[in-house]
Amino acid sequence: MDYQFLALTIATAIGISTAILVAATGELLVEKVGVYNIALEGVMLVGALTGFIAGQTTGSWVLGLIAGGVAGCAFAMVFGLITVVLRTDMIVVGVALILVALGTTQTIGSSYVAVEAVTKIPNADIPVLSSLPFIGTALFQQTWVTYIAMALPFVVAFILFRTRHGLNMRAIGENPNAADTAGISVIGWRLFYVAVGGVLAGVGGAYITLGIVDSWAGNVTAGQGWIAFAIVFFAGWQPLWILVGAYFFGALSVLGDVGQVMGWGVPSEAFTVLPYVGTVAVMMLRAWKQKSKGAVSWPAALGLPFYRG
Amino acid sequence: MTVVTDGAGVSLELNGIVKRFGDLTAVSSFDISFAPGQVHALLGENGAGKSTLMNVAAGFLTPDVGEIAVGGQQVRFGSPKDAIDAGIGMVHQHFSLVEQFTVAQNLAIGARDIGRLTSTKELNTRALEIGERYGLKVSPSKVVGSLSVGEKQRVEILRTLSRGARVLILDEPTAVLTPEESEQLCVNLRSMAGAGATIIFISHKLNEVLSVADHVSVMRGGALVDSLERRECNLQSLAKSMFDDFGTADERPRTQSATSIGEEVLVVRGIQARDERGAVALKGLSLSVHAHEIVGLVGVAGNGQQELEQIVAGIRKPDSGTVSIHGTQVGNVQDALKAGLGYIPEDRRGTGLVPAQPIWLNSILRIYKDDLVSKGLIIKTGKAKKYARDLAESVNLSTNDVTTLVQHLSGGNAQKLLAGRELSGDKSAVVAVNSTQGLDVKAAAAVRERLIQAREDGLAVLLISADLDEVVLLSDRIVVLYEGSVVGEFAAEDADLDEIGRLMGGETSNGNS
Ligand SMILES: Nc1ncnc2c1ncn2[C@@H]1O[C@H](COP(=O)(O)OP(=O)(O)OP(=O)(O)O)[C@@H](O)[C@H]1O
Ligand SMILES: [Mg+2]
Repeated sequence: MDYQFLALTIATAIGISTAILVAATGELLVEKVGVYNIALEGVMLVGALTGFIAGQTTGSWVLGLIAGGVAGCAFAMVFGLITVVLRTDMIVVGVALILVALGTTQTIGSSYVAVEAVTKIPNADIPVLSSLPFIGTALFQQTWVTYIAMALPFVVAFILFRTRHGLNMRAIGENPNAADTAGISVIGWRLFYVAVGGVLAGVGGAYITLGIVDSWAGNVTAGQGWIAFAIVFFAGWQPLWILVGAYFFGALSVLGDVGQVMGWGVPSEAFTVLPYVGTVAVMMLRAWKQKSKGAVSWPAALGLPFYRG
Repeated sequence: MTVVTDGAGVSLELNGIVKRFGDLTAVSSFDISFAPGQVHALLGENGAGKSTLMNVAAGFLTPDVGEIAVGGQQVRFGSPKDAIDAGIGMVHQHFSLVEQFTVAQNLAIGARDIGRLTSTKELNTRALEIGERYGLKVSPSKVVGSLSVGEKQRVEILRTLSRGARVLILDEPTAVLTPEESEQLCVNLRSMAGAGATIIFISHKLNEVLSVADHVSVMRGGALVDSLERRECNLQSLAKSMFDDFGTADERPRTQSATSIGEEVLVVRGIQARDERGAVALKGLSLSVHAHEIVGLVGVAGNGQQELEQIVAGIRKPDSGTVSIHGTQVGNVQDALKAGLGYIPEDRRGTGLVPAQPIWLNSILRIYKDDLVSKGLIIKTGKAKKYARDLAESVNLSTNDVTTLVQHLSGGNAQKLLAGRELSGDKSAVVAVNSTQGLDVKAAAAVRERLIQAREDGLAVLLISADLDEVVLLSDRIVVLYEGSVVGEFAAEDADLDEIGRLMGGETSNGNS
């Protein structure tokens, strides 16, 4: 494998992990305040279709991404209202909403199937850095969204562990009663972060249709929402591990293409399932390790509805 | 909202508060006031409505009827935040601290007087300052989960005070403390009151109340039955006003077993075990309890009691060593149940009972396979409820509606239910951990009575308790635990409290064992 090819492969892996990275980082924020939005896959789908339609109508990928974010936010808020405010079971509501998203996007999107996107998210080479040998090709010839996505976990880590706001967020996820007696509106903050998570998942979805596959098809997210959801667990609720998890998934996803180019002779079906199987396998390994170290650290109140007292 | 200047004491008045839960009136309309600079004790039997009244005062519950005044001014609370803004803070028995945070971080939750960017150093300095201001020692950088109960409580009190509480409500603060910690707390409360704070103190320990309080109020069945100055009351008069049918409530003198000790029943041999963090908790501990015998295991909390209790009950695996009952090895919960082990765990809300389920389901948790209440896979609801009603009656539960959720029972009533369940049926051995914690004097006496009865019936009773007095009162033999080993053993007759205290503290025995 020559250098240029390897650099391109890395570039592709990073590029196609973008949607997952953004969605998983958003989900991390949601889970840090004690809610898991299991409807992530649905939120991404809604964002993917809305973003694509907006792109087609306005001809602007920026507006497409914004529309994806807004739609994702709105859809996530449905989840938030039912689970956070009405305290209904998150799994039941989440699964129902995924089915709703699948069905409605398939119907509404039917006239957009197999239509080429009129606007695509362009690559933005970073001056100087992009012309470095190897690294330039591998890292600095991405889209703006990918750069931002890369930075996102660092920003989130800073907010969570270095700011007053982050301290309060974590308190809500660990022990909402402690936060409540301190005058923090548990319900308010939880809703807010469900919305933020929705924006990010929606943008992630729109990135799939406007930046990766450049078209719409039913169930275009193909489980990426689930992977993002799983990566938060894999990462042990540590923002920087989200980066690792997302890129690991990206690397497994490009292996199929690499294999074809290199003529490894492995059936392509094997490579299609590899990212999923591989992610699950690595997650189990990590969970095992964390367990034996006694260091699994999910937010203690994750998934528990808040009642005062 | 009233703004109270720092330092000045404020009074709290509760006028005509009524709080109903469904058909039950937990607090029924009376006037009570709490004066600044005083420790005001609130007494009453289990389910009398003490916690409910105070939860209303601290904004956790909204009253159906009634008024609250702070420093003479009417207030209305929609949340605990409103109450704390008015200067009223409450420390519950179940702390609401973030276990994973450090002390300093816990004190910083929701705080406005810290920068938007937090630095560990800033938070630690602030925690030290808070500790100094209110005269309570804390270690800012320690993780709360690793603290003793007493230390956690100090953090909780500091947090409440640092938010500007002028009225401090403590719900059974000493129920979970060791004797030394309790004493320290009482000293602290007195000095806070001396500085002008209004302290409201709920407790079942009459001696403690008499030593710390300036004023004592007694509730019964949701009503106020007495409100007296300290000098107007004594042990007898307090107990009398707490219970309408007072008479047998006094602690009984220790009764020697009528029957002599029988064969070995519960045998623990060479147990090695680790705690959650992987540190060695039990170092080859061996112990045996005979039929017709109560063995009291004493030790400062955190010396391996929890691991031992769980291993005997079959819910934790030791690294090595065995537990057997009547010669049959116990490896899991099923074994323990079959061998007839009753288990009253320390953690009543998590391990002992299922709070979100009704009384009747909780009552049959350990016997659901028994023909008495089920047939094959089907639970005979009617029979089960009948069983539960009988159990509720036998332990004098405050309600006989067995569809009540356990989380709606008062703390003491939940404990009564648990103890009753574990001591009934066909048992051969019992492990009881702090089994009278949170019980009023009468209910505590009833549970002790049952433990003694269990001994008469030939059970082997292992009593694990932080309450040394209780252990001495009940046990035939006392075993001292320190850092995972047995460091001393005494027959009840020649138990020397000072010696036991020294051993609990880690000093080596000076000869007599
Ligand atoms: N949320 C609730 N729903 C229904 N009933 C409740 C609820 N909270 C308390 N009760 C009932 O109100 C009564 C008073 O309870 P409370 O907790 O105030 O008693 P208490 O005096 O604090 O007793 P203890 O000494 O056992 O703690 C009890 O009968 C209890 O079962
Ligand atoms: Mg109570």
